[in-house]
Amino acid sequence: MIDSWLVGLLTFAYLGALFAIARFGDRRADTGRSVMSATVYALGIAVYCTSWTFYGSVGRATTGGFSFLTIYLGPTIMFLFAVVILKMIRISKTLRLTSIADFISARYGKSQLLAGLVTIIAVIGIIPYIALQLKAVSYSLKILFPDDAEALIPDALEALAFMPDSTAIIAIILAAFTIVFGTRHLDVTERHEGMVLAVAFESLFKLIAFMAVGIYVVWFLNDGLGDIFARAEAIPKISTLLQPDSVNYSNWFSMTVLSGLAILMLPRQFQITVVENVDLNHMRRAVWLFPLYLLLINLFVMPIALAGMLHYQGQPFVADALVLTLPLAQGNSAMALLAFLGGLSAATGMVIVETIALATMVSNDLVVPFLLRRDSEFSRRKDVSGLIMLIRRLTIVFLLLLGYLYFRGAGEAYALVSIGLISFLAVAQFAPSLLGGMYWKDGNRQGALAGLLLGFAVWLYTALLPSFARSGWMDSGFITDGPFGVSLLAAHGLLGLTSLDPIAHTLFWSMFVNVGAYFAVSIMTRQDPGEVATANQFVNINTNSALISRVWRGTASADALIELLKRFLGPKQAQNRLQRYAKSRGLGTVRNLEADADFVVFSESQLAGAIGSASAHVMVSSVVQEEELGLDEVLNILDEASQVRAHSKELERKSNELEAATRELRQANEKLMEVDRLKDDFMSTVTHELRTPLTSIRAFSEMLHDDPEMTAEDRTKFLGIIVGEAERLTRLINQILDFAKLESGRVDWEVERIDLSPLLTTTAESVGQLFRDKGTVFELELPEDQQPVWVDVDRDRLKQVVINLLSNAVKFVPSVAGLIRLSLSHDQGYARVAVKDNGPGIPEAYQGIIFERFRQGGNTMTDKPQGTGLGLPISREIVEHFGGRLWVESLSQDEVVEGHPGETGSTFIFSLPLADADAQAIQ
Amino acid sequence: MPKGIQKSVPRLAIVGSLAVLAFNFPILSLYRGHVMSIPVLYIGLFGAWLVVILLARWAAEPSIRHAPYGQQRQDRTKL
Repeated sequence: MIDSWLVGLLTFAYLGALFAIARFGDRRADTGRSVMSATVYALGIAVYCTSWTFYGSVGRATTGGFSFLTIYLGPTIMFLFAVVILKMIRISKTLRLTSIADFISARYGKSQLLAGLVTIIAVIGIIPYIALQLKAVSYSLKILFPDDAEALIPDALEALAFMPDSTAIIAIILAAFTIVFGTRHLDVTERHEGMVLAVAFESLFKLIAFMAVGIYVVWFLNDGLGDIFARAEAIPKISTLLQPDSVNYSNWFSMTVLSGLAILMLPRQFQITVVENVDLNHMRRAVWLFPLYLLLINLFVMPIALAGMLHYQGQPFVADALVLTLPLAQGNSAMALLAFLGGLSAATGMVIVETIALATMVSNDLVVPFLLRRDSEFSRRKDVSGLIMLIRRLTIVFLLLLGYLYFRGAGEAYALVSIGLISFLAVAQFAPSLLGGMYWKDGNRQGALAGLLLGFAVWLYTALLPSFARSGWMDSGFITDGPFGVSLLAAHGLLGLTSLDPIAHTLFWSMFVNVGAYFAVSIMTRQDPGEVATANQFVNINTNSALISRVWRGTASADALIELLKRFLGPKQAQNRLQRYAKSRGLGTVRNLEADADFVVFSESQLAGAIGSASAHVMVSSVVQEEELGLDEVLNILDEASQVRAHSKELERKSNELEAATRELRQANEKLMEVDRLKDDFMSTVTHELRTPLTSIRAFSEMLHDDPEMTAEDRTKFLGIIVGEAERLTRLINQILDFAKLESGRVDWEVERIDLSPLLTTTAESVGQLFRDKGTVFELELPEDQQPVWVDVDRDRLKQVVINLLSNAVKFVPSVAGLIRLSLSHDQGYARVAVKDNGPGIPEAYQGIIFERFRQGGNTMTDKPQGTGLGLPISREIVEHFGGRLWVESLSQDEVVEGHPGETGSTFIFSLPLADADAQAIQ
Repeated sequence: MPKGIQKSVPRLAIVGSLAVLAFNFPILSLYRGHVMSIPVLYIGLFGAWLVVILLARWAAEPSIRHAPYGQQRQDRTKL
């Protein structure tokens, strides 16, 4: 037996902790250090798991096998199609929508009628669900204290006439909590971070509690999963539940669809997932953490159900209470207490969030519109923000009271126990108009109204009324036999469809008429001009969220709008927001604001956060003269807008192309200028080079001409010089022509396959005289294997390269002990020819220059040039033409370490690709 | 839409489609029999569920799982 004072203490301590956590969350939010992390957000969404999950899943598992899982698989799948939720969040943030009623009505021209209808359906569908949570609390107390269900209340107090029962006390505490943390701001789009943090804590708590009970039942009361399943297998009635054959696949599928819709449409889910979302990126965590939560909380449902059935074999037991009764039966009161608190947390979390969500809807979409229409006092008041807040708080109390009364009235009735899925079915009616509105531009208000009304009517007739009838509140004949004996109208077998279970049956027929009416009526009727604009905005929220102000036309007075904002938001709030808005538009003060379309739209969206978009629209319309735009006009504007977008995209593309073209042109121009400069250089160098020999020829010729008495010896010497210079001139001109040809690509290459070894030998022989003249030693090194080295080249051109390199080398070797080595090697697909001399070497600074035209190593101004300066550039052009490379490796005198003078010298090397396959074959 | 979540939306939808298949007829009818006296239906449903969750996590928050790897790559680009 558990002490009642302990249970009381723990219950109130738990509720107290909720207040503390929420207070902490709000404090942090106020100081700017938000507690809203992705994890808190995901845990908040787990408010989906109510006491219906906590106690009811086990109950469902005892009769329906694994079908209870569908309630959690649907949301898992829906969260994976995150694109839908993300779009809902985006739309709601842009338009400051605060509830599911607001969302639907805003889409269809801010219709108050539609908002009211959605609210009424939600209240009728959800109030019993809230009642169910209270019942769960009351019932769990009854299990803990079978003799005295009111054990929490001391007997002395119980005698008092006004003393409520313990469930009522909990309901009152919840109302207080909801009012304190759920209505902190008038503007619902302001987050309730404390409330969400508390709900996240509750989610965590109920998960831990349920898993603790599960682990206790599986491993402490039994010998593990294997043991439970093995014993269950022995009982035929139970073992069939564990095989897929027990599953009715169409029911299974319908339930998955239903719960997938419910996770989007339940007001409490909309509140947490959409309204309380601070950052779209939090969805990245939620898409997997929330399904993981669902998996964990369901992991032990089946084992507990089986353990219960095995434990109470043959005896009657309440399957919904197994989570509590199994630990109690073993006398483990600590575990039972934990289970009780877990159930309490599941119930309270749901009640809190659902009440806030419903209260927003009821006050914004039923009470405020009613007052605005009827109560002249309300419309005369200077500042109604406080009044609206009061209305919302009273609504919370009223809704909880309604839930409590329903719970007291319905008692043990079937209508209450089965409400979970019936609630799901009610909110699923929102799906066609909500989802259709997000993705189909042509869906209109008449279609939405028709769909909702018809779907709701089918729900009333096939789901709610039968549940009343089965509770004995009315005659149940119509359920199976049909009213007045017309069996085609039977509530659980419309048109004779009896193969589906009642839930799937209602889902099918209600969706059938709902979706059908939505589409049919939408197609047959036209949208209002005002609706066209919002429809466009909803469907294209990603591309044109700021479009709406284009479609507004009319006259307004800024003062009237400001007055309006002050009336509904309170003077201080209104002033703050107006100031921020003025700043964002680049205006210094609020007084400078002009009543243009943008300001009107801004005012309306600000009001929407406080009183809902439908009422906000009515209020703004009352102070501005909106010009009625014709449908064609609106379509034109929207069309224009999309054309403007297309044009601007086109422009952007064009300008990008232009930029690219400009860049190319600039590069080409730079190249041209460089080439031009090179040409100038070339010309001046060429003329300079030509003038040098010409000058000396002329000078010596003049001497010969002017001095007839010159000795024969001198004459011969001078003539020799003239001949030499003329030869140099010829060579120079030949090379210039050659080079020009190479540069312009006008050379006729006669490519053939040749063996390098004989080519080098003959070439070396042809310049042998040069070596002998200077007394230079020449060595030729050919590959040791004596294999031919095949390359594809122009024989004469290559010869020219080798001669060039050799004659260069001769020029630079010392006149005493000159040494030139020509070597051939090949590896890695390249033949390598090197000409090594023991000359002075080339300083590193000049190693690049010597390959440029007319450039030579050393100071050309002082030293006498020893060549034309075209040999190496020509050679390089030739080698590169055949896919090779020509470079120099050199050690100059300055760089050589003292004592090793013999190591100076340059090596000119060129490589050529070996002739391919055939060469390999020959090797 | 922020870049991160936008990128994962198509991948998540693919995982979602897989989940629709794994949790419905006819795949569902394959989970019959027992493995070590535990029904395959139990293992199959929860196993598939876990796989779907892991895939979703990989699709939506790849940064968590591959943090060290991503870190390495960043370092390399710095070098």
